[in-house]
Amino acid sequence: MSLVNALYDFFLTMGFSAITWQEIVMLLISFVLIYLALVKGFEPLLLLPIAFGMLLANLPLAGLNAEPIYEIVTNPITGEHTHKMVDSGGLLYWLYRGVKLGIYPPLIFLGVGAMTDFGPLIANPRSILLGAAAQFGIFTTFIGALALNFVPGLGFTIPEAASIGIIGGADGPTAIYITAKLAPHLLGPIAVAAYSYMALVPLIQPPIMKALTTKEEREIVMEQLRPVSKLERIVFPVLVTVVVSLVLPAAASLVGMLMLGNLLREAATMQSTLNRLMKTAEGELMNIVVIFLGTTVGATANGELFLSPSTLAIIFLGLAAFSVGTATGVVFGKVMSKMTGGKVNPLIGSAGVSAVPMAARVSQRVGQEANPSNFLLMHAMGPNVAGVIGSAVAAGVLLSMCNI
Amino acid sequence: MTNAPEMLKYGLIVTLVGMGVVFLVLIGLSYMLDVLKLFSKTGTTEKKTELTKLDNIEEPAEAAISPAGDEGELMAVISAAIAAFMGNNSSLKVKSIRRVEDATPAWAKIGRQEQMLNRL
Repeated sequence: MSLVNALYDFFLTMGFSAITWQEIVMLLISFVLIYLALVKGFEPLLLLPIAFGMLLANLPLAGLNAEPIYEIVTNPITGEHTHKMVDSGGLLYWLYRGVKLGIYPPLIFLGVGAMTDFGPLIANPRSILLGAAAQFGIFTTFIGALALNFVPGLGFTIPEAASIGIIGGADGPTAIYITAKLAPHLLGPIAVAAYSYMALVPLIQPPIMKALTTKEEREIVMEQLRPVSKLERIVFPVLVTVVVSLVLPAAASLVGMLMLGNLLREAATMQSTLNRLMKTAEGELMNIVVIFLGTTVGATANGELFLSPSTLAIIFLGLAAFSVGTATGVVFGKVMSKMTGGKVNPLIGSAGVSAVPMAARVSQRVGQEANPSNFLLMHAMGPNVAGVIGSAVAAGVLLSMCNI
Repeated sequence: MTNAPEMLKYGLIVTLVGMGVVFLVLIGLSYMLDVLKLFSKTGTTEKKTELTKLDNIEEPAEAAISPAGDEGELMAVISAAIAAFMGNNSSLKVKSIRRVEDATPAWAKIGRQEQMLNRL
């Protein structure tokens, strides 16, 4: 009898006894995401940690997300009340502090800045406007999410709608930064939607780009960009930081770190000792943060919250966000093409939806399909990196206006 | 703010302000970059016109290489180039010319093209 009892007690400590159907479904979803990341190559760098975080968080009784438990004890001599930690909490709970407190996304931006060449943008300053136009995707989706309030059973508050809209910025760190501040409970679905669609950019964008342009427009060859001087490269990050942070203090941590990374990159050619900092920012530091960020963001995908109609709505709205951003970018590209008398190929407009450098590569490919001697890559990198600044600015606006 | 129409109205305000600020900041930056260009070395503009001229010369040459072009002429050019490179006393014979699938990434192609144009 005691043996049966012992076995039964042991069974109760096993995950099998406590697993819910939601957790089983979430485990299956995480398997699918691991498959997509590894076999289909969907942004494996982030999707794999996200998927594995999802797996870890939905293992019953493992308590990786458990909050620490404190006890208030009274010191018998002084009568003072002090905290005493009874349980130290789960590993992912502590790693998640970096997301919750808005530390990881700016650190990723530091690395992105160190890897990004803003030269094409400095050489052709007007291409910045295309990076602004593509941000329409963010705001139309924001409105779309609010419009869903008219549908019974669905409904998003203003901060939630803002977090969904930011998917249209096609910028993972920005989306995570905003969502962690405005609607942390939606972090799982939003991160998964943002990174999956970023991986799908080469599939989503070309049909929209082709539908909105004529063959003649796609064939336009743009003249080579001028070389950019050292002075411009150094002043640019300082200038952007000062201007953006003065206009939008809420965007300062994202833009500031992005530009610090870029300054390290450009200054490393002047002071070779800075090379070390640049290497760390774009290499090890970035990789460490990516692992922490991906795993803990995935771990927020709790079965009960994730498996709801609002997740489906978010995935649908995210697709709309990407499509609208691409379309407005291309339309604005057409306007610029007309205004410059056919010197601008409208295809570079779609690269305004960040997603560096995938969106620029799509512009290059679609352009070359129309005209094999067309090289749009560097021209598309201008709007592409401008899109990063643009979505950080849009994020700043949403943070300061929707934090209610 | 809990009813849907009111939230939508606020959403529209946020959109207007948001897009306004995004455009304002980026247009501002774009003009500041123009000013910045004036401060940097002026020698770059001359080089640019020279490069665009070369661009124009380059295009017809590239068009001729496209598959639709005269294959016989292309073979003659390739054979002549090989003959010139090997010298007169070479026993090399060109038997067939096949197009090799180009697997170079776009980034490398751009880099190569820029290098070529900068040397010309």
